Amino acid sequence: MVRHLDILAEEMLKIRSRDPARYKRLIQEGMLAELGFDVGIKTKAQASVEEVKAKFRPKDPTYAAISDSVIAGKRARTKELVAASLQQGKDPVDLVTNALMPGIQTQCELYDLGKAFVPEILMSNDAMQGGIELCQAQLGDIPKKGKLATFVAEGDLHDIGKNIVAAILRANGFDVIDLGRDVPTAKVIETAKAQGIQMVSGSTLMSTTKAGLKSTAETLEEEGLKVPLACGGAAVSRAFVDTFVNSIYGKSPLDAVKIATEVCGGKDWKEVRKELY
Amino acid sequence: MQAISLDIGTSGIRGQLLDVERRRVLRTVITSHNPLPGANVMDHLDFAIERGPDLAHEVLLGAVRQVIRSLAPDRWGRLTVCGNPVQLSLFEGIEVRDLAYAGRNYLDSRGIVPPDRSGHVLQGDAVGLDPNVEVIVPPAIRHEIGADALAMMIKSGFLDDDLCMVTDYGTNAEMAIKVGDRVLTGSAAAGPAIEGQHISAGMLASPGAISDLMAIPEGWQVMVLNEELKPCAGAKLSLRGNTLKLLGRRAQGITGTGVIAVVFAGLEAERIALPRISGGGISLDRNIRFTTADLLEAGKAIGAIRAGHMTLLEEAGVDHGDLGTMYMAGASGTYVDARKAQAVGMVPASAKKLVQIGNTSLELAKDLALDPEMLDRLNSMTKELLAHHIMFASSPTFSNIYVQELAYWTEGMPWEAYERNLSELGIRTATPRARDVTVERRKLTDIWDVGESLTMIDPGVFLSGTWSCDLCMRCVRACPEGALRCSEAKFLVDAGRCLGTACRRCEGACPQKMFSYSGLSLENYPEGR
Repeated sequence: MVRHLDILAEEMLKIRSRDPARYKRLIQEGMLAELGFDVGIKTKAQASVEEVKAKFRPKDPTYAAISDSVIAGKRARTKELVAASLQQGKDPVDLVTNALMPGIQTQCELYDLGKAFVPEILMSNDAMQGGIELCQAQLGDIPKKGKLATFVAEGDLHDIGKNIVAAILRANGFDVIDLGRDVPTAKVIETAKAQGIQMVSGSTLMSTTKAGLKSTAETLEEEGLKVPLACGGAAVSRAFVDTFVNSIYGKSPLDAVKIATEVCGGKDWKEVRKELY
Repeated sequence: MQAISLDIGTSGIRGQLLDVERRRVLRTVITSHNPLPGANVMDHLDFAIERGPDLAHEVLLGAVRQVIRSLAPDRWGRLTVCGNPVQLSLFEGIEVRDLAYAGRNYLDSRGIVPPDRSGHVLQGDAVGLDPNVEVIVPPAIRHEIGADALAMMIKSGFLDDDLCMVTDYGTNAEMAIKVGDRVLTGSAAAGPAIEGQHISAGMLASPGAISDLMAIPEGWQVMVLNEELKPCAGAKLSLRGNTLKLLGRRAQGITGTGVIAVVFAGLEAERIALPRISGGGISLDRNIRFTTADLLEAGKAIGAIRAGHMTLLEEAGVDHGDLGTMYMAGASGTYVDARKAQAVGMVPASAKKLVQIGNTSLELAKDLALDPEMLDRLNSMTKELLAHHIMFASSPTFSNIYVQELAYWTEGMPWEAYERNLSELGIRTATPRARDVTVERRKLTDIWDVGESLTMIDPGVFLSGTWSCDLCMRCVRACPEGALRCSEAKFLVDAGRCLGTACRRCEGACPQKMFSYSGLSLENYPEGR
């Protein structure tokens, strides 16, 4: 683990002055050699966070301020800045694509690199949605990669996972209608028909309610809608999802993005399973 | 007259034979596990719904009859029970679907009406026992907060204290906070890691289980339970050096309190850098490793409990620093090193006094058996508590905190980000850790008084089925728990060892698709098996 003895010695001296108690403990345990192992990695990681931020940061300073407040997860501040920009006559579509989206894209890329975490994506998404609402009020719909619906199976209230999936799908440019929790199959079908949904994502935490996913996938198929169901959640396993048609299993929220991208690209559930499993 | 008190827990049944006149415990019998398939109440409910509540009731009652037989009562006329609402409802054989589904839509569309779960007295034959036995069932507070929660409040001293909390550490962690006259309750689905289950080398507290890790100058000393369930010295290890000296008592596995101790030691020695263990797992004995996957399980359990505590503090509107005493109930709450539990987050960081109080559920059942008129008092107390229950599943505060916990334990989000995010969301965070924390081990064992003897029995309830297959035995080999066997073309499942709905590997392994779990029925043995 130790790369250079000089780095090790330097790190040891630093620890001795900064935390003498820990230094003494380490010496006592005779484990000096373990001291300097993570020195190099940290500086590299910090640089890459800045690189990612720089990659997406808008040139226009007012847009950059909006993007930064999305990254910081500040909803009130984001709305304030977006409202001010709209007042100045900025184009709402331009604001969404070039000020709000770069913020969430930064956060998602940081998440992929392990430098940001789910709670931060949720907070950034919340801030971004606040801004998007203001823009949408000015100008109908904003172009999206596809139209999806999310729900938690009937009988279950646990929606943390579903909220994460909805946030990450939205962050990746999909239009998501969130049906909430404790949702009966009939309501999913009705929404899929009325709204022209391309894919539904359903989840459940409780083993008692997972049958709701099966019936939803099967009913969507019976109705001939060609709308597959992406399934996930603590009580849901790939083995379970493979027991019924018109379904694709996803383990992480990023799997939901992959599945949605494939489905909205025109693949049916069998092809998506083949592609991703 | 003699009476029997029972605590029906998610991980096992405890029973005591009592001498009512002399107000004494005669003897104690416990089962090694709960007889229903599955590891938690949701699995038990799933079994009850899929296979019908009658079968679930019969399975549970089969184990209860075994406990009664092993207690060998003489002239007994009363049975009292305590436990969570799921176990008590299955014991009584009443509606459980209202407990299985948290959402109103499902319940309303199927016309499911929650049964009356206030305290009541039944005749024995109503639950399948001798009609001359009077059965007393204490009240549930609401939904998932049952008589066991009432027990931990009454038997701990919590109700006489001011600004204190209590938690029954188990698969489902029941918890409550008291602020002046107000009591708020909640229940966090911590998961079975707290009891040493769902951990790769996990086992229940029994001889050979690692129960603690103690700091010594060279590193850490593994403590292993001996035949009397007392911790004794095992291997020594250096966590930084990843070296292990095999000494003393050999270990067979690790129990819930051992899991907490390993997490504490790993963090302390910086071997655990969340969400991973550097060096790929911590060796605790020759074939026993605490892996990164185990760390995730333990982290999710600790996180759910801490999120529950913080939600209660937030909803009660108290500053963490004002919290005084924390009462720790249940077997895990009694045997765990309280300071380590506080350091990893299972006990609020700001609690100044930690009191370990043992199993309160069995104690309440005992009190009821000795003083049946106590039932009226429990019923009126429950009515007062009704208004202040917080459903964590639908609480935005809990959700916001639990997301931080998941990120902290499973993604490695730094603690600074955890605190920053919560303060951004307007949720109070823990003050700096309380100093000079005092620990009072009020009870050294979870069962307060075992009487003349303590016996552990296997509930021994089996499900069986026959079909004409090739007898290739792939199903038997697929069972991870060794719960399935086949004799003379008859397949027998040890119900209590079966993992239930979460597993079903037996069915999946059958090449002929003949194995039918839902076709299994209760195996009837002749009396006195």
